[in-house]
Amino acid sequence: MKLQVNGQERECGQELKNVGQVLDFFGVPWVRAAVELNDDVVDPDMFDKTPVRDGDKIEIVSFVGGG
Amino acid sequence: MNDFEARIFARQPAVVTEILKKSCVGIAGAGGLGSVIAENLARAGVGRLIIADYDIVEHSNLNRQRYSLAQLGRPKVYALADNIMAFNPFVTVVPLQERITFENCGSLFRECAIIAECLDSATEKAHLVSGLLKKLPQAIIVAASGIAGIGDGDAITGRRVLDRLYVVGDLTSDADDGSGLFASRVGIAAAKQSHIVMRLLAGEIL
Repeated sequence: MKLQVNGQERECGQELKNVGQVLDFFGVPWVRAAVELNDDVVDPDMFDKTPVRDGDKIEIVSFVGGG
Repeated sequence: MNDFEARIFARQPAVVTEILKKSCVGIAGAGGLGSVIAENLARAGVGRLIIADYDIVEHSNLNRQRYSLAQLGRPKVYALADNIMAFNPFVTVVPLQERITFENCGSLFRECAIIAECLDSATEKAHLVSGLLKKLPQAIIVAASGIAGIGDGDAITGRRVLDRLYVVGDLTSDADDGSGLFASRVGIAAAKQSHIVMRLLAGEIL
């Protein structure tokens, strides 16, 4: 399937069913991620319950610690 | 603005000072980033600062956070408010001694056009940014990620990653990997976050 990830078209090569699977595919730990799917913020506890479809636009911002 | 206050801002263009005085900025976390950002914004005369942090001042904070020995054990938000009053009593500081969560962030910072994310934990950063984007649809967030260690200071840059989200840092250096946190490098990030807030308020950038 194709997704637009952080402004770039990415061929994921496999069917990803939800936001959690997209994060796993790109190696982003769920606990560090803020995600927008088609311009809507996804609640962090809803990553595995938010479906993604071919052509969806997803923005993933991953954080590291320190402050 | 009385004469005393006007003299504090003698070196800033009046047109910018007037805009800043009418502004309200949120500071989420009063540690190495937040204590410095609050000071920078208060010195520039941002009129209202909502500062939230549940924590108290500890010894391990003093290597980089803007507190004194006499403030050990005191809630950071009150210590920071005192510090600000000592150089600019014309700022209204609203100290909120509370843990900031995905659930409560919208109500804590509802007055703020801009919020600086200044938390320590990666998970809390991610949850706060998600919460603010969702619950405050007009607000702009200026966050930090990748400020640890003694690596190149010039690797710390600011970028707009979403319409309403800026991120300052090198995006990779993680305090959890034992590289530590230093006043100089954390301070670079804090200065860059402050400056993005300033430029947003002054209408220099969107």
